[in-house]
Amino acid sequence: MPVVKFDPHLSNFVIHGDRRFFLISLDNSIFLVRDNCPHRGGPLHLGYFDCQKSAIICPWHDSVVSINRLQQYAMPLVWRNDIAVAILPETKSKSIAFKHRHILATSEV
Amino acid sequence: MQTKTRLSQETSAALNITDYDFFKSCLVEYGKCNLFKDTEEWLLEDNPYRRTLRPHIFHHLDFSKPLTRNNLLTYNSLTANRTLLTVYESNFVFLPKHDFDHKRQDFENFYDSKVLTLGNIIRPWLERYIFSFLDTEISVTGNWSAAAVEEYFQEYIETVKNTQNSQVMETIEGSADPVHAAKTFFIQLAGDFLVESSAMSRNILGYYGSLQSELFKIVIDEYGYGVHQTKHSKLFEETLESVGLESTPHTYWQFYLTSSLMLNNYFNYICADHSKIFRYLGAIFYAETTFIKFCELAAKTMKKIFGSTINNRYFLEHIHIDNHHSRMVLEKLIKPAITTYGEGIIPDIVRGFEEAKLISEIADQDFIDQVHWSDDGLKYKALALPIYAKIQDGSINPKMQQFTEPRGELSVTHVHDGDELCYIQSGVMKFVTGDDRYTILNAGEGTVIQHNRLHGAIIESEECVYNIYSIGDYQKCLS
Repeated sequence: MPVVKFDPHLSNFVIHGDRRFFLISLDNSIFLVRDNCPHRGGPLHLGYFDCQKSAIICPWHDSVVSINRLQQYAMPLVWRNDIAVAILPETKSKSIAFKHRHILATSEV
Repeated sequence: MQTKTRLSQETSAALNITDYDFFKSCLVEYGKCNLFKDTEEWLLEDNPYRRTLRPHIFHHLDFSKPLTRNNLLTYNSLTANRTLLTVYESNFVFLPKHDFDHKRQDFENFYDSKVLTLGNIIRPWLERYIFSFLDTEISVTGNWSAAAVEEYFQEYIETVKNTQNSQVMETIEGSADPVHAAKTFFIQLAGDFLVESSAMSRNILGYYGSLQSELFKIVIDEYGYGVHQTKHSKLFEETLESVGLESTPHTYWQFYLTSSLMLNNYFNYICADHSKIFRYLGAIFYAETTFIKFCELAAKTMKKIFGSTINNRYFLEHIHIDNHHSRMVLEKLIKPAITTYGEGIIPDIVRGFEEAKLISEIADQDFIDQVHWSDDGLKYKALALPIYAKIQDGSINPKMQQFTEPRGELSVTHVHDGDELCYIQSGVMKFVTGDDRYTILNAGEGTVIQHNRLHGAIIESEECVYNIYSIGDYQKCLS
């Protein structure tokens, strides 16, 4: 399992092979969650954060992905000062890319 | 039933440890113990009971809001950390090496039930005050598995193995006075190393199966298997003596930096509160693993500075034994704990690891800054007159306090939260920035006192009149 370090102020999006992850603030803590919707792989970071349902609505098929589920499957993450350290799942691909993307699915008002 | 209810209500009314005013009044009362008052000497040799806390200032200090990352080295923090360590250590047995009869009253006072009770009351508030910042500085989230934490720690083991240098050792070697810098470093370590493993031994008692026995094995190593000459604290005593330093606990109390006290307090904090046992496992893994390389680099630096006179056995022992301890903590404590108590404990373990790492890094930087501050004594002395001239011509108008003190008056070491200018009107002051490190200030001279930097002073003339100007930021004054 690769251990990756990145500056969370510069990068909020990680691509590891065909898997994508993004940083999101949930319950006052930062989580690195899967971006691929469990339905058909839609980009959850572009979804809508539904506070009432406590879920992200996937922009492709309106699938409801609960915050509980996102937290439950979030990547192990340590955030301290300007460094985030995450442990990603093992994949065949060794390529890892860090990006900064506009996150639409945010719980912040 | 009614009696029980009434009793619990009375107890809760009388002992509300979350009430700030109650805490403050207990703190002031705690400070009345004569062991904690100001002293007329820089060093307190072979008397582990006397620890100056500057208690006459307690009632002016505001501990109501916890420290943040930006004000960890303030005067409040120094006071809170000095006090908290004193409270923690009242659980340890201290006996002087010599002359117990003359120290008997101090011994009785240190373990006096009223002082102990007050200490226990103020302890939780001080802990929250000092360590709350860790909750905001460190975030541990996600779905941690045993495999993930193994990967995380193996990565750290590799990082330590590949480390080739230490900023602390480079600072010591690069200091204008490497011998003094090295001794200052030993003094910082002495607060913990002379009572080595006492904090962790708090975790030895109780009932928790095979983990308890595994932890005990590490403690056995620390205690040298009952052979005093091999006890780690004894090895460190010999290291201190070999470089001409005193080897009794807290002789150099006044020269502990805020962060050194904080690091020492941190391990007491997580070991005294047994709900933090899993944090402790992470913290001790960090300490044992990091110490392998640290000792290797320290041994090299100290040999370079002191030559063959230094007794490096303490460091050499740890280069060897901490390889075992790092492995034992991971394989025999952390992994079995996860197997037994579930993956839900992993965030606590990782948090402890990160907290110990963060406080260690803060302590390293504080030490580095203090060495530079001490080295630059003459630079700060030279800066005083241009700033004083600006005060005289009215360009700046800082708040001023004037003091008149007699010969031998000692200002116990302290820090300021902002930069200050000390200007001598008459007489002579020895301005102290470390053990046996000072700048002489005569009438018409002064020095800039950098914020957060530990210093003290003693009057060297029959009388000395000096002004302290709160200049805020000395660089702005000069621009």
